[in-house]
Amino acid sequence: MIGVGNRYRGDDAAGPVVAESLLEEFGAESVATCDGDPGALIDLWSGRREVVLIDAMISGGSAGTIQRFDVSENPLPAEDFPVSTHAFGLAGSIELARGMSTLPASVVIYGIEAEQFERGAAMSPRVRASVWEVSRKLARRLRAAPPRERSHV
Amino acid sequence: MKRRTIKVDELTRVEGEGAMHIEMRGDEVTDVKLTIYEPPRFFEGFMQGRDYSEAPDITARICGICPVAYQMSSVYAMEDAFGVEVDGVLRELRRLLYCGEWIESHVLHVYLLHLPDFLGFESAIHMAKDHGETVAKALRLKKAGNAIVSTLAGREIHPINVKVGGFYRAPTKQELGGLLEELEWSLGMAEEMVRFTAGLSFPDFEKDYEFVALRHPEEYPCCEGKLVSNRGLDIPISEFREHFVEIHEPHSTALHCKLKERGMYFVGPLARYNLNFDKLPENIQELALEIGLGKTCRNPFKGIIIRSVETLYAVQEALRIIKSYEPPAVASVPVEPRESVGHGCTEAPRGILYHRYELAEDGSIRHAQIVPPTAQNLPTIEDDLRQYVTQFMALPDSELKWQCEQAVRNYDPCISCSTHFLKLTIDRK
Repeated sequence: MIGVGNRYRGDDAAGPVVAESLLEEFGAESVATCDGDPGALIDLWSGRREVVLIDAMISGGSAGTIQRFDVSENPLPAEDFPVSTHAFGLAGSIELARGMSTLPASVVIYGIEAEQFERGAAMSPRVRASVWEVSRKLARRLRAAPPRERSHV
Repeated sequence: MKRRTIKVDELTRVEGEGAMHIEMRGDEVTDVKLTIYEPPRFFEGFMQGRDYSEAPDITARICGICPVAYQMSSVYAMEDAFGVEVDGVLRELRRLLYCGEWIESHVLHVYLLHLPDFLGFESAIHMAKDHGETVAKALRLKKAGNAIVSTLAGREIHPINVKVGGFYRAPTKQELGGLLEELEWSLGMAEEMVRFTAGLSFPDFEKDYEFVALRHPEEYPCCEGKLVSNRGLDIPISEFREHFVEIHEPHSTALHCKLKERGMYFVGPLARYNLNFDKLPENIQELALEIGLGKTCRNPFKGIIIRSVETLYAVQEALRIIKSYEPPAVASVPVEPRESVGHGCTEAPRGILYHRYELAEDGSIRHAQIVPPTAQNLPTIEDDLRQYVTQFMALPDSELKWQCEQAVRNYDPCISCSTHFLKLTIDRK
């Protein structure tokens, strides 16, 4: 499970906060945070069979809306995920890995609709509520994984 | 008369936001504009009143690709102001940190931003489908550069361990030793990078540029030296403002910088290489000659080879520094602020980055000036486009547009950096 985003930019913290909430119970072998650097992302999921990514998104929906994308076969709608001018963004990183045949067999993304990316701001209340909902869902998913698979969920 | 327009509203594979507009009437190019519309960022303004010690960390935020360059130019400027000299192991560590940044930045540009142009792909993502192994190796090489910066300075982007006078903490021998294995691999990979890029096809395009770079008596330039050019410029860094001038062009939120006497000039890897070939280690000089690069290169498209040569140099230099490393007794030398003016200029991946600070007695900043490399290259980039389009006018629009974008990327422009400094004047009546 990889929480993508910047901890210090308002709702962009959604991904990292989900990951942090899972870290204590499931450990660094299964849970990580990432600022979105393509090299770092590709490293993190390299050799894994299954990866779940959590990221803030902007698709025009209401703040806090949770959307699930299975990108194992098809690209992520790039326009819905904020992209830094310095990077490829999440969608670009996924396609780069797909091109290099290093994308895990199963890649699922939980997008949480953001309201603001203010520097130093806290997450919006509705985003915060969705963060806990996604955290609970993913914790259940991890607990249900057979122990031998847990480190590679 | 037939009118043609080549227009790219959003330049991709460059850092920041800019556009390109070229107009032709008949056989004549009538207008070339590299429009920079990235919002101005006012860094020089909000440095005023801040303490000298904050400059490295504030200016590092100007760029996520070359924060080390900003840190280094600012600490050298402050040390110049306060009459402090940092040498020995601490100087070597600064050089090592810079090697990390050159590797990160050059590999990113060569493989992920520029190479797709040469191989005919829309982007690195499209390129990865056919050249997956090459991209994977490039990411690994870039990671070796990232690892130097994060080991030495806390994290790979906006590092936090640099201070005026040295570092907050010097790494242990074991910490730096942990980088060796990957750097040994990187040495082979960087040589492969040089040979690979030398085998690409290049447009037949050369210009008689004025190249400007640092030159140091003993080493390939990084943080110290004099400012020199192939047309006789030979000045200490402190005389920068006597020879260079910043100009505001209406179509750009970035200032353009010119030589007062002769106008546009060229900074970056080509300039460094052409003015310092003799300072490269012998094995790298031999390799450069073997691949046919020559001691001087005036084709900006071949910047991709020179970035590769500099990547090899940075890996080799990093290995040299790490292998001879003995931790210093102290991580920094003491600094006593005083009322003064200081200048610093270092070789960012994209070329010389000049900082100047006026400081009050208590060390607070009265005035700051920062001249990034991309602002210095903007007039030359526009002139390249003008000449390139004149020379290759017979090409169909789509091909010409592709090659013009490639010509802009020759300079690895960092638009985010170049717009940090626009001055805002509020006229109240």
